[in-house]
Amino acid sequence: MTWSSRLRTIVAHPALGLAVRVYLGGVFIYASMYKINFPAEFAESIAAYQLVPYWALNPMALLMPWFELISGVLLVAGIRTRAAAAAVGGMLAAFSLAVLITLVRGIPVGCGCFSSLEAPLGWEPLVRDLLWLGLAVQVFAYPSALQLEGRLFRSLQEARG
Amino acid sequence: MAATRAQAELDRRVFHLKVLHETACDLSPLTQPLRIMEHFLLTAMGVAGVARALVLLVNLRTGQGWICQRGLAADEADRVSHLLPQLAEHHFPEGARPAVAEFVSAPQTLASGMLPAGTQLLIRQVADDPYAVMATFGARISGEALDEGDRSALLNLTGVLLNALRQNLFHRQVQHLNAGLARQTASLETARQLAEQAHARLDRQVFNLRTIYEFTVGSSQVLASGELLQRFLLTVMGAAGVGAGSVLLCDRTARRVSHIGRGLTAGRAWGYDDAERYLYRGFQEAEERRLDPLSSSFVRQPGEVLPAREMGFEVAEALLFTVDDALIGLLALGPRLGPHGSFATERELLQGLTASCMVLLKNARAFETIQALNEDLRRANDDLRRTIAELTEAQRQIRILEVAKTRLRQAIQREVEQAGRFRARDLLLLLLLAAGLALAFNASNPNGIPVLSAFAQHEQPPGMDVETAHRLLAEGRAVLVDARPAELFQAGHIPQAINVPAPLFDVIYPMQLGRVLRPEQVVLVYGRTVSRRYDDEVARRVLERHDLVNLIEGGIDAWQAKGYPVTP
Repeated sequence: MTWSSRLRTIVAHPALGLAVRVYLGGVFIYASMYKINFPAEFAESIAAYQLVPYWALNPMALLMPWFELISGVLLVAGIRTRAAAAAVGGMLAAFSLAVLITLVRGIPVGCGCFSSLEAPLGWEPLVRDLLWLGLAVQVFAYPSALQLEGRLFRSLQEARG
Repeated sequence: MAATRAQAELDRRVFHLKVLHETACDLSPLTQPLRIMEHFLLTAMGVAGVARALVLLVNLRTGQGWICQRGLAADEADRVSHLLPQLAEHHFPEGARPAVAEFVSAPQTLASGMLPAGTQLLIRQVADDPYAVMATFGARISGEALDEGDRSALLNLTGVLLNALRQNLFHRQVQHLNAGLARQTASLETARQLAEQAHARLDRQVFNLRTIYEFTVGSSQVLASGELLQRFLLTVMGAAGVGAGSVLLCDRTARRVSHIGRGLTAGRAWGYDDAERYLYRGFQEAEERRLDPLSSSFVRQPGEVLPAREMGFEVAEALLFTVDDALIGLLALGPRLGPHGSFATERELLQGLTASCMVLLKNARAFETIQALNEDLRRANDDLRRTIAELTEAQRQIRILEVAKTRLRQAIQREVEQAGRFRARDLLLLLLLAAGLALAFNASNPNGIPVLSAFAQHEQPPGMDVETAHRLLAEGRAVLVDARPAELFQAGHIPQAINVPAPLFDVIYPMQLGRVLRPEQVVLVYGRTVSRRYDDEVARRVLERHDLVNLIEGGIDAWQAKGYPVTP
């Protein structure tokens, strides 16, 4: 067994998939909480990036935390896992891009990742987001254990006979 | 001598004729045959000159007759009168009855024992069938034999007698006929009266029949018992001439009673048990205690059986009728109006009408039964139809459920097949769900924000190009305000600018701007990013305190592009 195949076995392991799902989902659920409660502050954080046009600011500040929450919940529960993983991955990619652009532009801005009261943006969030993006890709690519959806439909199929 | 004898003979003849004439005159007014015979006897005795004579008038058929005698012993006359039938038979045998007067003087005939003793001469003749006359004469007082003149005179006398008797008999016959005629007239009168009575009875019967017929025809189309009874009562009251009446009808199967009254002084509601009791009492007093179907019977002493306080009127006549075992009725009528009084003549009509009514009632009941059966049938049909509809509906539902089941199965199959797949549609759904939840939550969140504030229309402060702004600043006619947050201000700003971020406006404006600002100076505001229009917000707030406010068109980028200085 080569190293690559062993690595693939580890990466593709359903247990790992489950762990990654729960972790990533938990992170997103947690991240959404504060923003859901205080959309005005989140809007201010988005504004600081100077990437979103002013008319889209409030709708985005309202929509994004809920999108994060639902994606996180679906990930943890294992319902529509791949769609949720794709959503999470997409968001992480967008965040990474925004952080990168902001860092390049040198605009002084807080991260706004979890709450508005954070230190000015540095490279750490970018690295972290990319790492999480990798986890999302893992969830998307490989089946994981304890997916509610799969169990539900299997049991329905069995019940139907 | 011969002349004298001839004269004497002539005188005698004249005398005889005179006698005849007188006798005829005397006899004609007499009406009693006995009187006529008496008169004749006297005259004949005088003419014949005899002391004893007898005249008989006998009816040859009956053997009875009258007898008249002179000079006979009482027992002799009695004996002869007892022998009348034998005399008649002996002297007037059938087939040899003398139509003209005949003399009999033969001694053997005269001494037959039936005639009075000493009879010398017998004259006999049928007077007028069946009557016959006999006259006997005894010996002459002078002892001489009767000569031809005497005989002729006697015959003539007998003829007169016969005429008188005939006349008398004819008279009697006329009288007799008159009497018969009178008798016949009387019997005719009686017959006429009887005929009149019969006619009246016939009239009444015709009237009764017509009443019954009209009632029957008029009511034959009535199929409701109630209306039928109404018509019945009306007809009966009209036909009998009664001012008050009522009909009770007891249905024993349904335990129901119908009561109809007219002209009642006080009405009452009839319960079934009440009606049953009175009907029972009626049957106790019925003239004929029968319970045959379609029979009726009058009630004796209806006034006592059905008291006025119960019926609402004085009951003068009551008729019980039995339609069938289950349907019994009572017709009660008040006293008749007018002079008639008794119901005797109307009873037949009442019974006839009642019979007709019973038949109609039976028909009505049959019709009602049929209707009830029809109704049952209809209800059963309805039930059936409803059941069929329900079944159809159930079938339809089953079909729908089958379809749903199939679809569900297909959906499950699809879902199972696609459970592990990624679909863009899921992402879209996720987005829509998030949007819905976000909007709903924002609407109820105390920290909620306006979703479309950027599109709200409000008046923007006037703009000013960079050169003019620069010139005004250089001439000291303007004050410059940087509206951005402090970190952006520090990252780079126009040298003269005062940083007044919107959140700190109320603190900074009076401290830094309010002191230096002169009324004629223009406040120039700049500072916006793609995400925020800080200048707009601050300028509008400055406008609340100062009149001359302008936005710098293009902001700090246009300023820099013109080559004007920027710090740092």
